[in-house]
Parts: sequence; structure tokens; C-alpha cells
Amino acid sequence: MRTMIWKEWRENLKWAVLAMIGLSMAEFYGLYRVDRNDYMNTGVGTLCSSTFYMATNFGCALVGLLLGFLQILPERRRDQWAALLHRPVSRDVIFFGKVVAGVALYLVATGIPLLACVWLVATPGHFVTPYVPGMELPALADLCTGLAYYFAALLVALRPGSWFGARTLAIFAAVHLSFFVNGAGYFYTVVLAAGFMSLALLIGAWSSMSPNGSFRVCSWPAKIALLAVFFYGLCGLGDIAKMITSVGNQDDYTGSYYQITREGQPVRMTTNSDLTTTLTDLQGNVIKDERYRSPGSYDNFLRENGVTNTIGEAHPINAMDYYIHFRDLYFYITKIETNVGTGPVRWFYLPKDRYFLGVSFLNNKPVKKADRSGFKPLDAPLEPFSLEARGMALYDVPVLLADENVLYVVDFVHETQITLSAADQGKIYGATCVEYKNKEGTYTKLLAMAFAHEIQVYDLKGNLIATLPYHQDVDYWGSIMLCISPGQDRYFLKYGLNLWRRVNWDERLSMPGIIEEMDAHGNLLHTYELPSSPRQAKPRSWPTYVAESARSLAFWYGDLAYQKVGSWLGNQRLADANYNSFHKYMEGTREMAIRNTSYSLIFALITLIWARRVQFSWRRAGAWAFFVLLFNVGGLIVFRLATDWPVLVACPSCGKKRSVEEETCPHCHAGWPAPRNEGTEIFDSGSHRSRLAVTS
Amino acid sequence: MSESAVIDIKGLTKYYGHRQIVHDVNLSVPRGCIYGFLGRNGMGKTTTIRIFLGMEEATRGSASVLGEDSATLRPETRARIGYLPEGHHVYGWMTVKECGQFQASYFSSWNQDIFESVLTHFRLTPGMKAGGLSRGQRAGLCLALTLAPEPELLVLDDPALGLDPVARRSLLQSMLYVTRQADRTIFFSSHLLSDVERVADRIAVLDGSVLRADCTVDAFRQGLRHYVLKFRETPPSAPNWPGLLQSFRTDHELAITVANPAADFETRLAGLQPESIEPVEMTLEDAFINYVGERGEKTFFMNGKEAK
Repeated sequence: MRTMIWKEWRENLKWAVLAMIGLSMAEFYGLYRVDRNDYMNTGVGTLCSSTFYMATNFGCALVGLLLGFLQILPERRRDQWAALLHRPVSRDVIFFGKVVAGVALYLVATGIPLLACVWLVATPGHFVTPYVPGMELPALADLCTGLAYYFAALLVALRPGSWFGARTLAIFAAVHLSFFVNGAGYFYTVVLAAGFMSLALLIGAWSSMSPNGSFRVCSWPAKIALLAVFFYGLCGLGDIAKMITSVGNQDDYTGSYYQITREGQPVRMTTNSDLTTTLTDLQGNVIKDERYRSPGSYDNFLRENGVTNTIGEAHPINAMDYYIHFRDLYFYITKIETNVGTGPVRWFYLPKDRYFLGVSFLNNKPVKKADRSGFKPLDAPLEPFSLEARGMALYDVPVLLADENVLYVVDFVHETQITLSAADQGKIYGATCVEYKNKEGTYTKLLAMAFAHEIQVYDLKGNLIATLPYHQDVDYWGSIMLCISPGQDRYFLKYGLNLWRRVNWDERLSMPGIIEEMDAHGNLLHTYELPSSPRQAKPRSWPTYVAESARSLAFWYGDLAYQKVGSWLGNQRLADANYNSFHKYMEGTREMAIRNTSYSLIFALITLIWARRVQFSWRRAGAWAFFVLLFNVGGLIVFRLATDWPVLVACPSCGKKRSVEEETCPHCHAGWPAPRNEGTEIFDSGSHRSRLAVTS
Repeated sequence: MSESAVIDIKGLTKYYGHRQIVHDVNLSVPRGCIYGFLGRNGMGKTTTIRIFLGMEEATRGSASVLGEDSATLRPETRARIGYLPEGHHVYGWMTVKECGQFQASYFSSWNQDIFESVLTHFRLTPGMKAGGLSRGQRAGLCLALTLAPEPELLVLDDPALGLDPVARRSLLQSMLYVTRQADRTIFFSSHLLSDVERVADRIAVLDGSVLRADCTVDAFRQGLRHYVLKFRETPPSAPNWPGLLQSFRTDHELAITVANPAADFETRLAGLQPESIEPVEMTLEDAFINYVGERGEKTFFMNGKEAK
């Protein structure tokens, strides 16, 4: 195998180097485009910027495809391929020799540019954004995905058959992986998915090295791999179709939400599908006051300040990272979004190390830091905050960082820091800068902290201004917004569903709510019940209907079983999903079950008849029908693409169709007649006399 | 398998889609024989070779080489077979020396002396880039790569294709010199009948995907007869005699080629009442062209009659 690896390496190194240069240029462009000359705005993405992602996403996929194709196609010409194969080694050795070299070349072509980019970002002086280990993971995920494209190219190049059929589906399987990777929340899921897909594609390509690459003679692992590739290839096509047609993105809803006027009256605003807004009071009477209807009406409502979303002992605030995607820059680093001047310094919070780092954008080098004991030089001992604050949006001025029992109020403009705590209240569940428009028309800033039983409001110097106890069950109504009247005499707590209650977003928006009106001492002045405002979805479009009906029974029932088992095992998320499927939306579940099962049965029947018509044995036809039953119309298409279609010709004896591969006719049991003797045959005694029919 | 057969093909049939490329071919190649495999383009020669070398699967039938089923040839058996596919492919980026090293790494029986001798014969030096070689030199390099492992069976698929006569002669000389040393078997396909005539012990002819001849060169030549019949008037059409391959009618002549003529064939010819009957000796090339050429009657008339 070593010689084969050497040959492949030498033969394709030039392509790998070219790809490496191209990818390096694209990735450097991705790094510099967002950061250079853009230091006052949002240009801090570096390894996590969208342009860099664009380069790694498409770049790695293209490099994988390029190397895979160039390794096989130029050599695939009939005689050249024969010259390669006729060696005293098995085809496996030749194949894996190619694969080892190809993977090594791919890693050279994609790994070196990535390493160069990481070095560039990690070395102070190049970018204002500090480097945090882990920021390279999204690019690494793309690199893993590109490997699947490499194996897809091998499969496409090696597999016999039409380019427009099963062969090209391998590339769409990799496309499906790309869609998954771009939506995956965790790096390990990407590694698992890319590993699974690469393995399936690798086995598929390996099986295509056999003399005719036919499906029927493949081993069982190869068959499963090929079926998986074809199925996911169809999913990839579906992803593209969905992206183009926007099926499933039903944004055209009619929905309502509640606001509080500057006079303290809760009102309901309904946005119609034609984008007009209707304003009513809670009893449904239309309010025609133009102050609330004009384009600049924003100032005529009280500003809502979210104080907490997650009250409850079981749900610590720093578990918020559940919602953060590993491709999001906030997963690794948080930029302090201040519009007021902080001098030539950009500030970042480093969640893993738990301190603020100031970087000069004059020379792109760290200059100072801030930790729990305040602002200090870089070389001073670090006293980290105890909160990771991963993914928290730190854009208030001043920036608030809530520890377990202490609130740090960090002012990056004046580089000062104060701490607030309420020892008797225990844990802090959330904090925010509350801003309201006072009677003079200017804005006033206060601080609010959410505890287990109340919200406390402070001025910026740390003086307690108001204590607002909860009058609702915050384990349920744990998402609380605070509004303050212009005279600072009335406080409104607007309760929503605790974020940890797992309800989908549409439902959350349509749920009822509560508004409590209090004075500064926490006396309850009024409680408003906010009726639910169900959102009305548009009727289901036919592409949506088709997409729903095409769902695989295996995956659909599998998902339901997964929910059920998860529910038994005590997983809350799965228990909620199980409740929704079997209780709350039972009607929908039943309808879907009947519809999907019916379609799958019809397609399975079609497959059975079709397979029998082309003379598959009952066993083989039955196996395919069962496969289609599991995978619905996708299975039917895979059946059409994957199976080896026998060549049928008229039987010389009975005239009925028979497969050229079978020795005897299934109808009349006749064998194949010998070629007709023309009387011109010349065979001598040394010949293995040809079986020719006697001239009639 | 036939006694001491190196290649044994039974009922081999191959379809590409609905097109039948090889039709029920039976062939046995004895050890130590030089076998010419003949046929026009597209008759299935290369496909047959690729099937018995295990590179493609047969639709029906079977093939074995050196006593082993072609579909499951072990690497050790493959090491005993030298195969030179048509086109003389070499890796252009390698030097001649690297080509040798690459090939040698796979064969334990690699004979460097043979390799260098063939290179010398073709005036090749180790430092030459394979991509810059002429066609003849490339063929020489391929032959060196094929012969150096000292294969028991040498399979050459149209080895002289595209070569000038000098290169062809060199190729044949090398091939014969090396392989004649140790009772080796050569199976080669070719269009160049002069080469076949010079070296082949036996030939097999594929025509219309069917094996129509399998015999010695002499038997093939003797199995075909060519007569020129002269007439005072316009000659009649030849009757549809068994074995009639071609007839060619002109103003006063009728040329007939027939396979396996019966003992009384000349008496039958006399029945056409020609002025004279002249048997004509054929070279193998003439015999082959007549054998695999278009069947039936052709005419060419100068005196007012329409030429077909």
C-alpha cells in the first residue's frame, strides 16, 4: 500500500497545493474583511465571522470534491483503470492506498490554511478580537464536513451508472450534512454526524470498486451504507428545495401582543397579515387615539425591560448556554457593545476565564483587564468572576454581571466598578439596566435585580429605590419584564411563561399573561389578566402538505418512540414533546399517522408490483417493499435508483420477457440457444469447440 | 477445465444494457501457446480479456485463468499474469526509473535485467520523463513493465496499436525473445495480421460477438478459399452455397470467397459455366478481411450497369 500512497501523493500534491493556496486566500479574506478598518462597529468575528464561515463552509466542501474527483476520474478511463487494477494486490489495497493519500492531501489543503488563520488570530497584534481556544471549532466542523464531500466524490467517480441518478445523490448526501452542521448546536454532534456520513460514503465508495459495482453483490454493510447515502441524498435535495420554496417558514401569522401606555393602561396590539395594526383595550374595544397609531408611537408606550427569564432553583442562570450555538461568537467571547467612548480600547468578556479584557485597537494588543476586584493592569493577579455569562448580551451601559449573590456594575467609560448585593434575598436570578422616559422627556437609568421573591430597583449609585414582590407563581410565570411610569411612581411587572417551560415559540407568543401594577413600596395597585392571543396560521399550502406526507414512517414513529422512552426515563424535554404528541395535539398526530401510513403502504405496494414485474424473487421484492414501507416515497425513489435493474429480452422459446442474467426462462424453463451456425465456422481439432447451433 | 489450459472460457456472455457484446464464447488456451485473438473493432475482444482477467463480471458463463476462477483471482495468481492494456498508459509525471520502481514494488519476481534490457532495446534511459516519450518508446516502457515480472501468462490487448512498423517490430522481437525462453503463454489481440502470422500458433476470431474460428493459422488459411471465375458475358450471381462469405461481380469476373468448401465445390463452380476457374492463394490478412468483412454480394460494373 505504501507505493500506492506514494503514487497518489505525488500525483495529486499539485492539486492539494493549489487548493490550499485558494482556500488560504479565501479564509484570509474572511478574516480581514470584517476586522480591518471596522473596529468601531461589529467587525470582531475573526474565526467566527460569517465571511470566514462562508470560506470554510464552501471552501472545504469544494476542496473535498476537487481532490476526490481528481484522484479517480483522470484514471478512470477504461484501459488506464485496468492498468492500475491489474496488480498482485487486492482492490481494497488500491482503494485504501488512494484514500489514505487523499485524506492526507485533504488535510494538507484545508488544515494548513486553518492553522495559519488560528495562528494569525491567536497572536496578539493582528486582530483586536482576542483569541479563545475553541473559536476554531466551527471551522474544524467545516473541515470534517469537507471530508464527507471528499468521500462523496470518490463514490460518484467510482460508481457505475448514470450521472443523473444514484451517483450524484452522494453529493447531495454531503449537502444534507452541511445543512445539519450549520444548524447543529454542539461540536460533538457535528463530529458524530460527519463521521457517520463519511463512513457511509466511504463504504459506498469502497463497494463501488468491485468489478461491476452492482448493488446486489454488495455486502450487507455496503448495502446499508449505500441506502443511507441515497436516502440522505434525497434529504439533501429536499433541503435545497425547502430553502428555495421556503416551505415550513410560515411567517404570515396574525398575532397579538400587549403593551402599556405611558398613562399606565395595558393595551392589546394585533398585527394583521396585511401589516396593519389594531389597538384595543383588554376588553376588546378599539382605541382610536392617534398617539398610539402613528409611526412614532413607540415613545407613547412604557419601555419594557426584561429582568429575568428563569426564576426557579432548578434552573441556574448560567445554564443559559443551552441556547447558544457553537458557531456563535458569543459562545466563546462577548464583545461589550458600548456606543459611548471607551477610548482606544475594545472590551471583551471571556466566559471561560471569567474576566473582561481590554484590547487597544491602535495596535491590536491587550492593554488591561477587569475582574471582580475592578479594573487593573494586565499583569495584576486575576480574580475571576464566578459566572461564565456565556452567551449573555453585555450591551448595557453600565455592563451588569450578576454573580450568585452579587451584582457587579461595570462602567467601561469611566473604568469604575461597584457591587450590589442583597444577602437576605439570596440568589440573583437576573439583572438589567432599566431605562424609562421621564416627564421631562429625558431618559433615566436604574438597576433592577430579580431574586426568588421580589425585584429590587436601585439607582446607579446603588441606593435602593423600590422593592417589588411577586404575586404570582414565578416557577411558572418566571419571565418578568419591568416597566416604570414617567413619574417613577408606578411599577409594572409583566409576567410571561418561565423560559424553562418548554413550549414552542409560537405557542409562547400566544399564551396568556399577567400585568401587576405596584407602587415603589410594592403595594399591589392592580392586576391585569392578559387573555391568550392565539396565532392564526395560514391554511397549509400544497408543498407543505406534500413535505409532511413524504415523511418516513421509520423516522416519524421512531421519533414518537424516542419521546415516549425519554418521557419514561424522566427527560423533561422529551416528556413535553410526548405530551404534545399524544395529548395536546393528538388529533394532528392521529391524522399524520393515518396519512403517512397510507401513503407508505401505497408506495410499498407499488414497489412490490414493480419489483415482481422485473422478475425479482418474492423475497427480494418483499424486502424492497418493506424498505419503502419504512421510508415512504423517499424509499421508492431509492429503490428506483439503487437496485440493479435486470436487462429483460424476449425469450427465444416462448417470447416472454426474461432476464439475460438467468440461465433458464422463468416462464418456459428453456435455456439460451447457441449462436446460429452460419457454415463459415473454422474449428480444428485443438479447439474447445464453440457451442454453435446447427444450421437449420 | 481443459487439460493444461491456461485460459478457459465457457459460455461467456456479456451485455452492456440491451447490447450483447460477447455471445456464448467458449475458448481454451493451452499452456505454452501464442494465441492471436482477432476481430473487428467492437466485436468484444477487449471485453473478453477484461472478463477473464477479473476486471468485469460476465453476464452469463464463466472464465478461469491459471486454474482459478476469474471473478475471484487472488493477488498471487494475478502476479503470474502480465497484462498490457491497449493505449500504453504510463504515469506521465514519473521518470522511466520511477515507473519501474513503482511496478517492481508489487512483484516479488521482478527481474531488473529484463526491465533494463527492454529499456535499452527501445533506447530508453532511466531519467527520461514518461510523459515526454514517443508512442513507440511508451509502448516499449509498458512492455518492459509487463515483462519484467516474468509472467507465466502474457495478455496483450492490441499491443501494436498506433505504432510505426519499426516500433512494432521491436515490440514483437522483445516480446518473443523474453517469453520464448521459458515456455510461456501469450494471448494477444491485434488488428495487424502480419504480426499475428509471424508469431501466433493459433488464432481465435470473434465476429458479431460470436467466436467463429478457433484454429491454427494454417488451418484458418486452409479453411478459406478464394476463386476468380472469368466469363465472356456478365457473370451470374453466386448461389447461396453453405460457407459462402463474399462474392464480387464485375463485368466479366466473379470472385468468390468461401469457408470450409465441400470436396465438390469446384464442380459446383463449374456449374456456373465460367470460361476459367482460378484458385487464388490468400495471405492471412486477405483471409481475415474476407472472413470478417461484409457478407454477401458486391458488384462493380463499368459498362452501363449500375454499380452497387
